Amino acid sequence: MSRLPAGRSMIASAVLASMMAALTIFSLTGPARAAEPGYSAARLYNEANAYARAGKPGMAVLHYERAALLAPGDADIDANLGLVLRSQHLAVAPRSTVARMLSWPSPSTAALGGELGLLLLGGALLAAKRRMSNRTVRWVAGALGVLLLSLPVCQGMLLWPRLKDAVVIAHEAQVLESPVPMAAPLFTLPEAQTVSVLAGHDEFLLIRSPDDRSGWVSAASVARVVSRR
Amino acid sequence: MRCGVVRGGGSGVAAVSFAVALFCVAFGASTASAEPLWYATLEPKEIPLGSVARLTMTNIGTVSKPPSLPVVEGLSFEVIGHTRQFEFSNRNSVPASSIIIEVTPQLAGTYYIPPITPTAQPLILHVTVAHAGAAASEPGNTNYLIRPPVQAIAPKKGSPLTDGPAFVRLNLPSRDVFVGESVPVDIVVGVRSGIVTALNGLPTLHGGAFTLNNLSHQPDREERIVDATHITLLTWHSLLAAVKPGMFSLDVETPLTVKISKRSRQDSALDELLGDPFLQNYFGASVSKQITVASPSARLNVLPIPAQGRPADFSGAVGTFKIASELSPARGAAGDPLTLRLRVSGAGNFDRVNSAMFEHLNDWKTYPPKSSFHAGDGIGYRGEKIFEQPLVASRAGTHSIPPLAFSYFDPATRRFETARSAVLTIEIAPTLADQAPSPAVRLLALRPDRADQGPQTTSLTPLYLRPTFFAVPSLTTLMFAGTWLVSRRRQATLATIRISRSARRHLADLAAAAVARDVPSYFATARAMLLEALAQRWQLSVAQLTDDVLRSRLGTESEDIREFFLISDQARYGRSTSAAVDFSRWTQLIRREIGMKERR
Repeated sequence: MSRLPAGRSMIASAVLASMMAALTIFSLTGPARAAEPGYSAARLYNEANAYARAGKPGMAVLHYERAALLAPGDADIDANLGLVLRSQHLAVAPRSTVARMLSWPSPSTAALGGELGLLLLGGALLAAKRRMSNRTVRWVAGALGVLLLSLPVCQGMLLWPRLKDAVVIAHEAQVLESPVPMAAPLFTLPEAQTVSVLAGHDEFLLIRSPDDRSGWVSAASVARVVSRR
Repeated sequence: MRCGVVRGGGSGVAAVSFAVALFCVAFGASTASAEPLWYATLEPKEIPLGSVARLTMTNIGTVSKPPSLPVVEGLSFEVIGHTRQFEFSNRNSVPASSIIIEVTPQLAGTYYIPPITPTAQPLILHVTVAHAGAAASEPGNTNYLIRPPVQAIAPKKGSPLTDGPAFVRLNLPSRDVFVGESVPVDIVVGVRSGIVTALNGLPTLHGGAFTLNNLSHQPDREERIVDATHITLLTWHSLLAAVKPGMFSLDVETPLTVKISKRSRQDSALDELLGDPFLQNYFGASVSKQITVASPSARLNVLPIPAQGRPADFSGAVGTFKIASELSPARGAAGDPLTLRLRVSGAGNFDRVNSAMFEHLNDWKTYPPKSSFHAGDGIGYRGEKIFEQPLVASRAGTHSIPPLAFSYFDPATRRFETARSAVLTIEIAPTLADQAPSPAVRLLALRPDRADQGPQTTSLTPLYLRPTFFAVPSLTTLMFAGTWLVSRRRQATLATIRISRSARRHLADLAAAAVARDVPSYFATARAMLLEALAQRWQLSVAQLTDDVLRSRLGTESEDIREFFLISDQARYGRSTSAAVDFSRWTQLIRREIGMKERR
């Protein structure tokens, strides 16, 4: 059996890898998935607006946060979220320029870009090994690959903590010393306050507030931004 | 009253004297023949059932035999003391003696105590129910439980109790009691001051079928004068409970230290008249001795709690109780904890008062209750026991908490009773997320909605943070790494194949040059082959193999290679002749160098 020339086999491998990546991403985000009932940044944004107009800031903030996960750089979502938080006299965390830049592409776009960057970087390294093509072209492809690969990595680092967030949807959530109803109260959280969920026990969640205080709160009083299955 | 003689003169004087003498005789006779003066007083004249009254019979003048105690059905009379005092009449003082009698009624009503002398007036004693207007079944007001009537306990003959230094009395109820029922009892220890020097321990109950609550080290203390003797009464209040049915005897013992007089009875009487224990002891008239004083045995009938008609939730509570329930706070939201309280108040054995509250309640999550007891008296017979149970409503709306029931045995009615609390109604607000919205948010100037729904996703988690997506870059990386390794291996293989073909060609050229004894061509070809072999070995290009590099890389083991390069340089510059060249040697060297590489 005759073998392919070395350069052609490399190209074949790269093409095969790209096809697999594209197929996987398509299967995760393609039309078949879209037909299933799911989440949409626009729909979550509209629902959040409805809650805000109905005077339910907790549910509004929850849906804004969820929409922001799907569309991190959306200006309307950020503006309305800030508006609702300020109306509740809650602090609006400022975002740095880098965070804004990293939030510009959607997570799906960033994932696709990262895969493309991986392909470019791998191809550039293989081409350098084989001394194929122009050196400048190889360097540009490699740099572009690194850039595209770093996009989902950095965006993931930004969004990872928000996956453990929860929003207070009750008018007032009492934070207790221990996960029992008769425990001593520690402090109170206002509606629409975002907290971090550290653990869970029965019907209570261990949370940490933005001012670094922690305690147990009834699970009925808060809603996780990303629901656990 | 004395009779005096008046001196005077003549017949007139004689007449007066006779009259006076006759008066004295008559008065003396009348005095001698007059009946002793006794009168009785009753204090108070109206008492509640369970209390006692004091009947005092006082004799003025000469000491005479006291009248017998009255006999009245429903009343018991007990002499508790004698006193001596002086009564003042017409500016004169006359000696008087009194007998103090304790009157204890058994039933409520009006009693007529007959006069103690024919000329005296009868005494009337009104005995009422414990609290005016209270029903007999009202908890805590059962008459015989307020202050149990004193049994007529006669002191033992020959014991120190009769006129000794101390006595012990056990006050028990005169009715039957039930197993487990808490019965208030009083233990009274009377000690004569100056005679009893120390109480060596608390009174102990003798009666194996009973338990007695721990006695306090601080009993009630009362001072009394009985028969001109100073007596200290120490009273302990406690609760008695029977552990099994039957007829039992009980008595109480108390250890004491007393001073025993060594003097004769006459001298002792003088000592008592002096009334100063110090003087008695000063002259070495007494010694200390430890004694035990016991109360007379009392009998008590203990009945079993009937088995018939016993409620399923009966936990052994005996007494009279009432219950009430409450829910706090009065309003709440779904998911908020509330406290359901059950208050059981009354009199009885609160240690057997238990309630599981609600083990299960529809639309509520229940938790185990906890209890606390608040005594209303010093012995824990009366009081209130509170049960608290946390509840959490699982849904909004109007909820009705069903009544709580508590079953107990009432010894007064001798029946099982079940007390029930009222139904509690509470309004539970919906989960606060669905409550009326805050008005401020309605006025927000929000950015408009989106018409286009946009792409959808099944998960809020970003694509690159989903575990399923990690397979894509992992496979891509593996593929590239595999391709890298395959490529590297292939390059090495191709390089090997390339050198083998050219090596055969060059060896053929070399052989031809050796045959033709063409020294320049031979060494040119051989040098090229050797340099290529060394370049491959050292992974350098041929152009990089300068003399310095060759000199530094070739070790002492490569002396023949150095010699070859020297001779090839000579051949290059035409200094070697074909006769001086050992073609076979150098051909073997080349073969050897190429052979080492080929075997790799």
